[in-house]
Amino acid sequence: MVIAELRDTTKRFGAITALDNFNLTIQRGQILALLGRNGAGKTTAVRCLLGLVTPDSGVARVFGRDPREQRARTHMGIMLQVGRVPESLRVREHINLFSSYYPKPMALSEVIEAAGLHGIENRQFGALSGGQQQRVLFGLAICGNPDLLILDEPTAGLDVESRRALWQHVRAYATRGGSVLLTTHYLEEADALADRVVLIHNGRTHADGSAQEIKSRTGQRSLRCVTALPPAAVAALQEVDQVEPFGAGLQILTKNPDRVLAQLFPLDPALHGIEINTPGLEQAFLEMTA
Amino acid sequence: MRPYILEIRYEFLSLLRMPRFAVPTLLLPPMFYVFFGLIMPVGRFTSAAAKTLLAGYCVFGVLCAALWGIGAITAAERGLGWLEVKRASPMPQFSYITAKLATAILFGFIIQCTLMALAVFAGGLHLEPAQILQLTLLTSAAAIPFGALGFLVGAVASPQSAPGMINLLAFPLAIISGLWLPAEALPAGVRQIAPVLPPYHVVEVALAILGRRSGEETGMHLAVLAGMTVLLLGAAAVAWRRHSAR
Repeated sequence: MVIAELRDTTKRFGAITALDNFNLTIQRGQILALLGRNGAGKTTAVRCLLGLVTPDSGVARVFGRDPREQRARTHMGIMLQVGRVPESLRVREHINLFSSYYPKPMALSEVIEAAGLHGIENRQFGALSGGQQQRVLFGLAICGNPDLLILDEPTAGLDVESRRALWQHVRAYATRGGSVLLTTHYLEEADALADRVVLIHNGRTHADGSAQEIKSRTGQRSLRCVTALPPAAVAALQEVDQVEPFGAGLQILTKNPDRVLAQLFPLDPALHGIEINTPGLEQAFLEMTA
Repeated sequence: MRPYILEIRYEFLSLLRMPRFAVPTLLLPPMFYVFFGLIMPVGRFTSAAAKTLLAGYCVFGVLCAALWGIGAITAAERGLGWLEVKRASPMPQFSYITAKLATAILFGFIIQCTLMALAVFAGGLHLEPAQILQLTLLTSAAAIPFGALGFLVGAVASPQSAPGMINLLAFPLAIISGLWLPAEALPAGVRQIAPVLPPYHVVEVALAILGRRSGEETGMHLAVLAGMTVLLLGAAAVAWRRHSAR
């Protein structure tokens, strides 16, 4: 069941086309990652779904309603990139206030549990670490018991530990039956959390599927080896797509590593340290948006 | 009702706990009043000056509370994304504006109580309960045009430029309107500009309440003030719409 969608949505800011006939559907119970580089159109897509910007053409629908309607918004919890949050309010007070906006909010103790805010509920927001602040914002997103959680770059700027802690809370929310749309430029994040990944580039969909499907969409492999050959000589070989220095040796991107190795050995019998990898999401991402 | 009450309560608490707002806002008007209204005037002018400047600093207090508490805060919340989070949430449509205005009124009221206590206990003034009530109603109502001016600043200023813009507004408004020094003490040229400024009309009504004006012109001042309030609210609404329609 589709709970939120953007249909043929176009949004321009001056000469820049942020969304170009963009389509997105979010199914109930799904964790969808909207993945793209900075400026790809992720945040504009989210802002259209939240009714914060009006598309030039196309439609945004959330639970069958215009997202600007109060009744659509009571179904959603949101976490946006924000530079200022009232610093002198305590965590508990922030949650109290946001809970009051929703018809059936969670109890304060549940929010504290679900967002990992134990021990900091009486601290002022400004006195918290970056990771704690993001968890408070996550708490504000879930405190209204929303059916759909929209997280815009929820872990931007966080250290690895804080990032993983937040992922855990997002997963726990999804296990309780919630749907999630998250935007990210961290491939690891999309890979770790999402059951569906939509790759957005220049305001258009570039790929749409599970992380696994997207990874396998590219046939490319990475071949790493230590060789005395100059990169230019390697790049001139057949079937080599790309060569770059990697540690003491080279990383070669190719669809046919066997064929490349067969050419390399006669040229450099001392070739060693061979390693062949199937690409991660990162590779697929770089290749598809190149 | 609950979101409105919480919004007001937390807006007030948030500003009260912010020393860089609360300390100057709550302390500057009483400090100025003690100096210009109670210490400087000597002899037979004492009581008159204490009354005149009580009116002036009560109005100055609510003017600063509104310009800083609304102008600077909304400029920061708009510019740095917090307002966006609130707008995307199911927050009731008017709770944000209501909370900001109510907070300016509350701060204005605290300043006014401090000033009145100083006037009565240190300046030996006598204030009738009716005067206190009327003055409170006046400064609370004045928070609306001053607040509209604050919202206008919040709509056009960036978080960085808002403080400068507010200083450029607040000090000339206060001086020309006769909030710091009695209008009689200002040069004639300056006195001619005063009637275009909202605080001038507020302080004239306050002076009438305190018996420093005959009160014959109070109706006119209130009418002009009502007109200016409508204009400022309209301008603020247009400016905000322009900035949020993207």
